[in-house]
Amino acid sequence: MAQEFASDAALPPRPAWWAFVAISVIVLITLPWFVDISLQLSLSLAFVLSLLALSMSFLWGYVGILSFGQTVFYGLGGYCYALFAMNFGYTGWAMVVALALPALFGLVLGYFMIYGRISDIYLSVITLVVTLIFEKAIRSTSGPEYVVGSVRLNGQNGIPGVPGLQLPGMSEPLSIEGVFYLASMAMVVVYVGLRLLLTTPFGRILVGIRENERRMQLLGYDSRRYKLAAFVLSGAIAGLSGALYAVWGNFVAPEMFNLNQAAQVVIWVIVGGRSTLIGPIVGTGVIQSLTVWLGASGVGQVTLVLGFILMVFVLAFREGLLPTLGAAWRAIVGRSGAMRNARSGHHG
Amino acid sequence: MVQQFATGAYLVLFSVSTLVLISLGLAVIFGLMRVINLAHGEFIMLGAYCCVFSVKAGMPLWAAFAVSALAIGVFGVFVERVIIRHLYGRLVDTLLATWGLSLFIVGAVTTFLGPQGQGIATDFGNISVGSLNLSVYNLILSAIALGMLAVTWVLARHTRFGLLIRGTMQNAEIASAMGVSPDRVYMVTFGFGSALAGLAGAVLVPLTGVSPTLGLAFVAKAFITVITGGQLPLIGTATASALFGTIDGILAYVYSSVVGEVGLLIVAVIVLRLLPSGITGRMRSGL
Amino acid sequence: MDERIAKGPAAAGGPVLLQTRALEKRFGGVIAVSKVDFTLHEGEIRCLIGPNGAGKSTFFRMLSGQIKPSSGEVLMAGVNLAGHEPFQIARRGVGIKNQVPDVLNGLTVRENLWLAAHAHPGNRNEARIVDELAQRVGIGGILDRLVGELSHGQRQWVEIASVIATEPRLVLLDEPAAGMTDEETAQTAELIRELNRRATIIVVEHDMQFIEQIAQRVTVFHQGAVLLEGSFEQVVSNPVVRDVYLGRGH
Repeated sequence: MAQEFASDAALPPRPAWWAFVAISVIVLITLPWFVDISLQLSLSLAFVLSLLALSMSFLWGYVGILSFGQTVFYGLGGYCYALFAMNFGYTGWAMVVALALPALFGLVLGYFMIYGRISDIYLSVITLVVTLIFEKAIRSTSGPEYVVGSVRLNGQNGIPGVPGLQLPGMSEPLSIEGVFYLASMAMVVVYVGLRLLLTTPFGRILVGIRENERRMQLLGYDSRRYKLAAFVLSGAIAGLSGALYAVWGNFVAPEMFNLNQAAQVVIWVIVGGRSTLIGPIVGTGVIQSLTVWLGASGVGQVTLVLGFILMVFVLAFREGLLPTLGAAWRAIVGRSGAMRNARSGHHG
Repeated sequence: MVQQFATGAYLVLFSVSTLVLISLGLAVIFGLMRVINLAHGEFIMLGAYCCVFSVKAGMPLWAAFAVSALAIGVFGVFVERVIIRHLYGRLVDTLLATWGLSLFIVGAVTTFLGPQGQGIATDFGNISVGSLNLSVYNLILSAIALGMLAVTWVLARHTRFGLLIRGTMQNAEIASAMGVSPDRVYMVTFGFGSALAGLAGAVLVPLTGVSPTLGLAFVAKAFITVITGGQLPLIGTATASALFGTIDGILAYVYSSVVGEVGLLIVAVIVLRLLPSGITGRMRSGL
Repeated sequence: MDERIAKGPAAAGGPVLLQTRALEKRFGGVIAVSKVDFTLHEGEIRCLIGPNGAGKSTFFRMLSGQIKPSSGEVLMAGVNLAGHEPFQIARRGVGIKNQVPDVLNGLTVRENLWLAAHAHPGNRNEARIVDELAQRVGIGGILDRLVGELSHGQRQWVEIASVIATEPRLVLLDEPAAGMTDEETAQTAELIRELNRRATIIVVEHDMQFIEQIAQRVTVFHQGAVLLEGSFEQVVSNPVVRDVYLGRGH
């Protein structure tokens, strides 16, 4: 599972991994038979948010770009879906737009930052600033004059009544169970897709760029182009996540862009570990459960605990839960030289 | 015509001064330690609360300012010892850890002080200059901002510790050579930057009030200003604040504060495109 | 200027591959490289030597694109490459190896070489090329090791192998033998001579014994300009060079 580690990444996944994916799919398909509606709802949300985590972690762990602003694309995806679907009624096409527009914005923003040779740290801070500005901008659209087509933006109240996904041939929008399948399968498809991407030349070049960008340039690769492509791809994935959120909750709001949401994405990835693709999924699940459990006691406590977790992990568990647990496991079981010496060399 | 210009100038002055206030602390820490403190907004917020409580406890305003600066300065030293010190050289990790700290502080304040806002009133009133009605407090604020720059400059140029800090900025070994541990230097620097942030919060609170999420309002602008300013804290902050304060002041006056911030970001991106290390990025000397 | 270019064994007979005209680099008020005219013929192995600060590294980095010249031209096959990005220069058939081993540490040797091989559009069967290359350079046995865990010398070889995987016409090497044992150094010299059968090479070096093993012509830099150019023997026996170089306690 932790095979997505850098030095193994370029190799085709082992049979054990495919088995893991197959079993997961089977479990996910059969889960609604055993699990009640409200749990399906919570799990669907976790899957949707995992996509957001994956978009950030792919960019960070495999390409080396730390973006604090994946929420920009997440929010854009949600709002695009809502506005398109509510104006034109074609929810299928709304999905497409919700992927395309964030990707396009990613192209523009990424172009400025990557071709503008802005240093890594500044890039991270700028992505954060962009999402904050989006939030502020959308929150200020409360007045009736802020309309897209026939739909009011509604400022900080968000847009309720977003239609569920209803493709041609369906007599009504997706049910809760339907959304569960959609979200879980989207997550699986993106996870598998990203893993397989790493075995393609494009994916291998991205990892090379993360390892040593200058060396790759000296070999003749235009690293800017590849980084931009990765940035756009992760923007599209985050946009998909936002659109699915809109389908899940029938609601979009400026909170999708805000600092708290952006922080949560970072926390999911740090807790889960960015050197694997399964890590962020696990991290999202853990933190989401924690958030829901704590949320009952009040907003302040949630923020406090999340902040504490982030600090602790940065100070003590840099690699995240999975790699730390993995290392502990190996120490206990005592398999040192037998395994590929992949682990120690990687510091993303 | 003259009146419009004068009003504009007055608003720009206020805008620039506010930017200086909220950015200088962050710039000092970034410029001297290469640490980006994402909890900076929360330091400002804590300073604001400190001021409110001091005034409500009966202190005169100027004393409340001093207490706030001192208290947050001490808090900054504490944070540096407990968290920052372990992460030197690890820019990304410092960024993340301070982000965690920011969330932690907001969460703690919300839990213990409640989410509602608080404030204090000031009765400085207005003065008339020509046909303009200017708020005295805004002028005081501008004076304090200027004072911050001046004090920082004097401390840096004319005290032994300032020399130490400037030397360490160039080369960490200089501190050791002068018999002071670089650790100490960083600790004091972080404390000083935090004190500036606390003071900013205190000075702004009569105008903005305070709530746990006050930091959010300033964070975007402060970061844009500091990054665009580049690595020299004083020159960088001064020039970037002047540039952005003017743009933001005009745009916010003519359109809205959101347009002001968007305008800031666009200009910042353009400036960074031309000068990727910020305005003072290539300057080797100066503060 | 002409009397500094020693007459003697004619430069390797091929046509001119690389030329610089009045190439200059100024850093603030300091002139690091001052209006250098330089000519390189195809098939040569040219060594650039000179004391620290002489400008040879700056000159080297202008050829590779890592530093933009203040003025002047770098001509390769008639095209002026001055100011181009490193990746553009690399694409024109220039292999570049910097002083510090600059490899992809977290990846295996195989993956390093694969990426290098893939960079050349003409290479289709990268896996086969990787194997051949590894054999040629002598790192066939460590293909599946993580580069970060190799010895310094081995990392240098991985880098050299990466550089030649793109089948460059011109190879720029900055201190390829730095930090190597005597044995490794001899192996590297052999590698470079073998490489010379297919490529023209410029080497920046300090190690005189190493240079002796590989150099045909040597260009001596001093204070940003070319002091002398000639065969190894001519340069080493020249009293001005001795003064400048060896007299300074090199």
